[in-house]
Amino acid sequence: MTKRNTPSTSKQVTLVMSAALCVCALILWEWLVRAKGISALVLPAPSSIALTLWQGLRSGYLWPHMLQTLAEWAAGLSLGCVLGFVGGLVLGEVSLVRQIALPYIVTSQVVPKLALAPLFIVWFGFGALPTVVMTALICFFPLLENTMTAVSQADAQQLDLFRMLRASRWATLVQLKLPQGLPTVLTGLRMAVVLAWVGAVVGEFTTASKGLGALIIAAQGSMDTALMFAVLVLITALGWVSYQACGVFERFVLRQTGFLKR
Amino acid sequence: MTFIQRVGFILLAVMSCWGQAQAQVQAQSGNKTDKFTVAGWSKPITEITNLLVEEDKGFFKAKGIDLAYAPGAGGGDALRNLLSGQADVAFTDPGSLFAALDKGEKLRVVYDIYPQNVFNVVSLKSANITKPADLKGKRIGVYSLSSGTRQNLQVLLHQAGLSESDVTVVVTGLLNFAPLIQGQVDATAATDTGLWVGRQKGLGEVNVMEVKNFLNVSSDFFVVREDTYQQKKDLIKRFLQAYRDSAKWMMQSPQEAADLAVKFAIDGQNPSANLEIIKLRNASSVSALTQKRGLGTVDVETLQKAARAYKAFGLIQNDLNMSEVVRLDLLPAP
Repeated sequence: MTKRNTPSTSKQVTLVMSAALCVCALILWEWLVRAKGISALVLPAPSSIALTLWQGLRSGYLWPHMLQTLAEWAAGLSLGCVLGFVGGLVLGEVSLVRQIALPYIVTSQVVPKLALAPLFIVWFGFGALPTVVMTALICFFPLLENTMTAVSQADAQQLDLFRMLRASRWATLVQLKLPQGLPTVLTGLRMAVVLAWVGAVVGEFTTASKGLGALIIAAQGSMDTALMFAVLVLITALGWVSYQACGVFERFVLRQTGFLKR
Repeated sequence: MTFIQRVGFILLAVMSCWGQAQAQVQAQSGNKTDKFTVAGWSKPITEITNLLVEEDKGFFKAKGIDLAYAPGAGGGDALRNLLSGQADVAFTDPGSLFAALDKGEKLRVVYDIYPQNVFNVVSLKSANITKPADLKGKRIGVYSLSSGTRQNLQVLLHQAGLSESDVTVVVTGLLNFAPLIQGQVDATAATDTGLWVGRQKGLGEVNVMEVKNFLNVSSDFFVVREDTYQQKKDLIKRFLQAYRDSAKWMMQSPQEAADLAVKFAIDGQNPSANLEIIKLRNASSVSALTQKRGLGTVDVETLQKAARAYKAFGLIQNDLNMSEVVRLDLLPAP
C-alpha cells in the first residue's frame, strides 16, 4: 500500500518550494548585478538592499516613517470600512438609492486618485488627513460592493419565512442577511486591507513629509535606488502581515458563526 | 448616574483641566508668535536644512514667527498651495512664477533664494555633446514635463536658436541618470546636486553644460500673494530677516547643518553627502549682486530676460513686466 501525502504535508512542500523559488530568484539577481556590473542606480543587488534595510531599521531611520504610514493606513482603513459597510448596507437594502448612487460611486473609483492629491491639500490641508482620505477612498469600494452583494443575495426561502413571521426590515437584515452574507463581507474586508496600503503610500507621494511613500520620493530624489527597494520590501512585508492577520480574523469569525468547522 | 454618564463627566473634567493648563502655559510664555507657512517645492530635503532646523536653532522664533513647512511636488505645487491660502509664502521657481503671472495671478517676488542657476544638461563623454547646438536631434531626459529641468533645458535650447521640436524630450522621473547610463537618452537635464549624487552613484565621465553660463536666471524665489504683501508687510519682513539669518548660518556652519540634516531632512542619512549638498546650495545662494546689496536681492534685469525667453518658446502667452512684480522694500538691510 502506497503512502499518501496528507494535506498538511502538501502545504509544507508547497511552502518550501515557494521559498526555494524566492531564494533562487534572489541568487540569480545578485549574480546578474555582479557579473554584468549593473550600476546601483539602475538595479541594486539584493545584498545592498538588505544592508540598507538593516541599517535603516537598526539606526531608527525607518521606524518613524513606518509608524506614520501604519497610522494613516489604520485610520484610512477604518474610515473606508465604515463608509464601505454602511454604504453597502444602504445600497443593498434600498434599490432606489442604489440606482441613483452607484454610477457615481463607480466613477469615483475610475478617477485616478493621485491626480486629486494636490486638491486634497487645498480641501483638507497638510498633515495626515489628505492621506487618510485618499486611503479611505481607495479601499472602501471592495467592502461596499461585497456588502451590497451579500445583503441582496439572501436565501429566498428564508426571506419568505421571515416575511411570514412578520419580521421587521431591521430584524431581517441583522438576523438573516448579514449573518448569511458574512463570508462575502469578510472577503471584501480582506481586499480593503491590501488596497489601504496602496492608498496610504500613494497618498504620501505628494502630500506628506513623513511616511514610507514620502521616503520613496526622497530616495528617488537622492538616487538611492537601494533605499527605494528597501522601502518597497517594508511595504510588502507590512501588507503581507496585515493580509494574513485579516485572514486569521476572518477564519476566527467564520468558525464562531458556524461557516467553518472548529 | 449611569456608567456612561460618569465616564463622560470625568472626560469633560479632564479636558477642562487640560485646556486651562494650556491657557496658563500660553499666558506665562508671554511671547506672541505669528504662524507663517512656507509652501515648498519638495519634501523636507537636505537642500533646505536651514528651514527645517527651527526646533534646534530657532531663527524664526527669534523674530516672533511660528514656522511651518508644507511639502510639495514642484514649484507649481508650491504656488498652488500659496494661492489656495494653505501657505503664506511659496518657495518656487521662475517658470512656475511666470506661468501663474501669465494666468493673471497677483503675486509679488520678495526674495531671491538662489540667484545662481543650478540646472545643467549632462551627457556621457562618448556622446561628444559639448555645446547646446550639439543637442539637435538628440533624446534628452527631464524629471517631468512640469519640472524646472524641462524649462531650463528650453532656456538652453533657446540660447542656441533651437526649440523643443528640434530634440526629443523623454520623461525619466527623478532617477534620471539611469537612462543616461543605459544609453536610453543621449543627455539628461539635471541639477547641480543631482549631478553630484549621480557621480557618487557611478555616473562616470560626463560633459556638463551649465545653464548659468548661457542665461543665469535664478533658480528659486520667495513669492507672496499681493494681498499678503499689502496686509502683512511687517510679518514678511521678519520672515525674510529670519530666513537670511538661517541662510547665513548654513553658510558659516555647513558641517553643523549637515549633522542636523540627519535628524530633520528626509534624505539626510549620510552627513558627508549632506555637507556636499549644503555647500552646493550655499554657493547658489550668493552672487555679485548679493555681495553688494545683501542676500535675497533680486536681479530684475535677468529675470525680465528670462520672462522674454519663456514667452519666446511659448511657455507663456503674455508679456510680463517683472519690475512691477518684484518688491525689494521688505528685504532687510545688508
